[in-house]
Amino acid sequence: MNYLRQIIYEMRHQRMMTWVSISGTALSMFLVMALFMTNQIMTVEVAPESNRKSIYIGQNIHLTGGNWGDSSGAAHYETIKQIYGNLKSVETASYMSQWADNADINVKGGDTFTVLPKWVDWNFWKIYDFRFLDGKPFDEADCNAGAKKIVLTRSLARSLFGEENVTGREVLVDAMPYVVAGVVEDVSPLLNTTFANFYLVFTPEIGNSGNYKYFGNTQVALLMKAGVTFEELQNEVKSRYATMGNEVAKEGAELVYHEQPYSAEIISDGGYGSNNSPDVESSRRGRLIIYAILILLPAINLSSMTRSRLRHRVSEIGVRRAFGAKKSSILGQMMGENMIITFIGGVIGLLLSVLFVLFASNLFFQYSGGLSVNSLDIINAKPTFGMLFTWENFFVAFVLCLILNILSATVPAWQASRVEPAVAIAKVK
Amino acid sequence: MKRNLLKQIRNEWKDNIWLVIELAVVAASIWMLVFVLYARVKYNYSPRGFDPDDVYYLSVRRIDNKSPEYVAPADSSDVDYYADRKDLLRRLRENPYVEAVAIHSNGLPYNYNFSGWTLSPFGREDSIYYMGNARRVSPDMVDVLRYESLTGLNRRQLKAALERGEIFISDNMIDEDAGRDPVDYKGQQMIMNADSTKIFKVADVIRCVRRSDYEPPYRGTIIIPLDEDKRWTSEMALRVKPGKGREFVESFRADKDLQRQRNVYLTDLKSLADIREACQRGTDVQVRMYFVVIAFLLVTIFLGLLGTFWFRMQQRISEIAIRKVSGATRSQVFRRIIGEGMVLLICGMLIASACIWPLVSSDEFGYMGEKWYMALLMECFTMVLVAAGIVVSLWYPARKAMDIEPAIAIKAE
Amino acid sequence: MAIITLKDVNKVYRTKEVETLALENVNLEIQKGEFVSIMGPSGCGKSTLLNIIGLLDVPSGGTVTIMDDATGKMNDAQLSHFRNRNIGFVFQSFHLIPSLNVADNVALPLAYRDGISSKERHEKVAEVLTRLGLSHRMRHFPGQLSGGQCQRVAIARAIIGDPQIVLADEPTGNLDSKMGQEVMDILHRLNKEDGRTIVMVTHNESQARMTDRIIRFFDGRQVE
Repeated sequence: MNYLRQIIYEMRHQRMMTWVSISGTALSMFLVMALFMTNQIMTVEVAPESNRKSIYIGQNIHLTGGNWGDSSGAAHYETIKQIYGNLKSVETASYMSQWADNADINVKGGDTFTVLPKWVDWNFWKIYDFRFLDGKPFDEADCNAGAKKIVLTRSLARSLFGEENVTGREVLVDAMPYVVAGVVEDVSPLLNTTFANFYLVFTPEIGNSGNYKYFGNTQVALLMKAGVTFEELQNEVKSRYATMGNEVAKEGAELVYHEQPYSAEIISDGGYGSNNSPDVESSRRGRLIIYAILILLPAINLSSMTRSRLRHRVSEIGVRRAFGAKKSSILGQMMGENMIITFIGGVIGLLLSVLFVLFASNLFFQYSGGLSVNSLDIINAKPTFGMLFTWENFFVAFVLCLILNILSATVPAWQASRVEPAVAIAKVK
Repeated sequence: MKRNLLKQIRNEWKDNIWLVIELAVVAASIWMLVFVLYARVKYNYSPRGFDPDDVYYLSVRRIDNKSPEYVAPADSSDVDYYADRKDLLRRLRENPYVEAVAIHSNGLPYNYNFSGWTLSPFGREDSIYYMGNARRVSPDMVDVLRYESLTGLNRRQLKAALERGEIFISDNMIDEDAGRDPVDYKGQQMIMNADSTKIFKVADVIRCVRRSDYEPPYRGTIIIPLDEDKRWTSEMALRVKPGKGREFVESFRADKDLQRQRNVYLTDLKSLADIREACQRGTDVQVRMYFVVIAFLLVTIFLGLLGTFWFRMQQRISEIAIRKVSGATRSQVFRRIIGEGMVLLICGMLIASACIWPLVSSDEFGYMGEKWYMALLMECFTMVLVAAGIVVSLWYPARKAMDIEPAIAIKAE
Repeated sequence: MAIITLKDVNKVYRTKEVETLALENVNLEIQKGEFVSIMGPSGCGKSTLLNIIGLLDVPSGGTVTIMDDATGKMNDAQLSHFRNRNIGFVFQSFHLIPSLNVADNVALPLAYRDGISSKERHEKVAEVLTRLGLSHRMRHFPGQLSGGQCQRVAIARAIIGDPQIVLADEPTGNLDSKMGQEVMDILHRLNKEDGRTIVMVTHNESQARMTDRIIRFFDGRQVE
């Protein structure tokens, strides 16, 4: 307790030191946590993508030679099925559209909204945990029959009907009538595999868009079986690629493999195209370098602050040693004191970073959606509290404080503990 | 005086070594970031080859004959759709806010579509290939995007060329290093995708239309004519009169006749500015991030120097007092402290140079595609930036030192 | 019975250029309950001797035995523990910790002792400060006290752990004569009433004469 009193006294009497140390720590913490959380949100597991880390996405195909020149893009339904259908490592596979243009949706006679559709199969509703406010998802029979059913998101349902209990009512999508099967909670545009404003029944015709061989508009979400590693899954996919490669070779073309299927991290990182392999390693390396700089530089500052501070307290350390303090207790005390300053700065920095990510992060996120002059104006990429307050984030923040403290205080505190008491309390300094 | 300064810096080397390391890391990081930013900003401000302002995108859609909205035509041929679209085009062109309307296929920039052609000069299709993004547009696109002719043709002449079925290529398609002047290809016959049945005449050489503002002009642009009466595409583009975007959007939304003619309707109206925003978001985020990191690095320097020199001034009160007693003026005291910071900066810059030069001049980075003197210029810029940071951070401690009253300071000792 | 025994103690300070002999073959026995003063000119090695007795410094040669324990073999932790239990220090410049209040300064040695409850600590602090007439200053910081008060706080700190030995290095050197006398009275009380062994370095001949024995030093050697 008297340690705490002493620290408060020291902080009040060395204002410049306190100010510099706390703001340095807070700044470092703020930036590292803001970056980390921004990045973390791209792969955070929240509804409806609560198990996105065990879901891998199969998409895109790349052909060279023969009639294909150098062609790549979203794949044909049959192609996706041939590569990813019935894999042994996969529990459930869900086929869906890979991309979509905004579509017009309206209730007959009502306002038209131009918003983002997504075509999905029945398994989509099984592997992703949407919360249904009303009605229910499509089933296998609906998909096989190509039923004209639609699942709306809450805000679209409200915009169209003014309420959410609208199952069984009719809407027009690009002038075609659909019956509302259900209404689900809105999806954040940050969840880029599941985000859409409404969902329609996926059929092979949708997935074959364009009527090219191999190319179309299909991707597949693969929920892995429990206990299966990604390597096992990828090896299976690779051997399917090999088989299909042989087939393509007969046309004089080559099938190029780009490390599919993709994790949520790769999908959200987005640093790849259909004709190149994702390089998630280099993104990670870049981030680590930035984190390291953001931590190391303030640590250097804090370390020289601590050293200057301890220099003013040499005689105190001598007295403590004379009265029986061991080297280790001096070390502990100095580390502890520094820890408190680090934690004060850390908490301030963490708060700032949370506020930043909640309110200003639109500037720092990559997301899609919106655009059309008729779209809903509620679409935004602001993360929810649930996305930020994860144990992982708090744990990382805590570890970060520890690291900053260790980096900034260990050497000065160790030097302080080595001070010869006889020298420290010598009359003439 | 100067030698004393260096000696004092050496005597306090334990503190200074950390400051120098910090300055070196900061300078090296800022230097690299400025380098990357420079490349980004340079392309962002290099000529676009078109005018993106006041341009809008529209999606053209057909009502399926299974739809209850479908209006059965008198005679069931596909041509009706073309007639309907022609009506819509005419109405748009009559709209008071609209300047030009065109149909196109992948004709607008700001998407990362890579679909392209190879072109070979007639008779040399075995040896020479030029790659370019294929952008199919109806002749009015010349007025919508305002392509920039490099041979001085005006828009009327460009439009006429497209109407004759001729194509444009961009300057960067042609390998200038191999001694070929792009303009030489004006009027030449070119073969598409090595298919000798597909021959096009190059009407003009235009400036490259890049896929995004940040993209270097590494891939060419091929503008290919599209006949409004004969080809179906789902994309339309229009230019509104300067600054009349909002008025146009309102009139479009209010006017059902503008949106639909029988079985064709227009939707998904978006401005090219919004499309650009979405397309470049990834890079914009990165650029913003770089600025934030640079600001962070400067603030770190500020805090580090401020803190260290604050303590240093406290320790040196008697020294400064004695200097003043011996006749040092206030400004000499101030300059000496700033000078100390500058010496540290030079040491830091030397270390940073030793680390960064081998890196940027390596084969992998090759000065990031710039000339060596750009790297030097960036280094100078970085140095000025950090020097400014140092002056700002030493200002307060140096002022404090200036204001020391010798009599009081010496008595306090 | 000897509580402190120094046998053939040498202390040599070495720097790159010079070698200084601070203590040369010092043999010394101090009895339990004795009040000894050490005198000599500046730089004669008095403070070095006190630091060696106080186990803050190790001799270059010879043995130091305190309370029958040979201290030469002790490691840092054992030395710290030993100092904490058995030795109290009083310094010329008080060496109070400016960021701690009087009570916390006094309680310092107890912080390095296990098994003391905070209630016990409070009681002890109150008891010692009352004895030294400072109970009303408990919450003050050292900067708010006079020199004499500071030294009394330092003495309170030296005795709160109930050590057998109190080492005082010119305890009155920074005080005027009236305050100095107060401090001396307290030291004598500690010697007479508690039976503590006190070793004091001083420049003041009259203060020294009041003690049981005077040991004189000159150039690192005991002269008397």
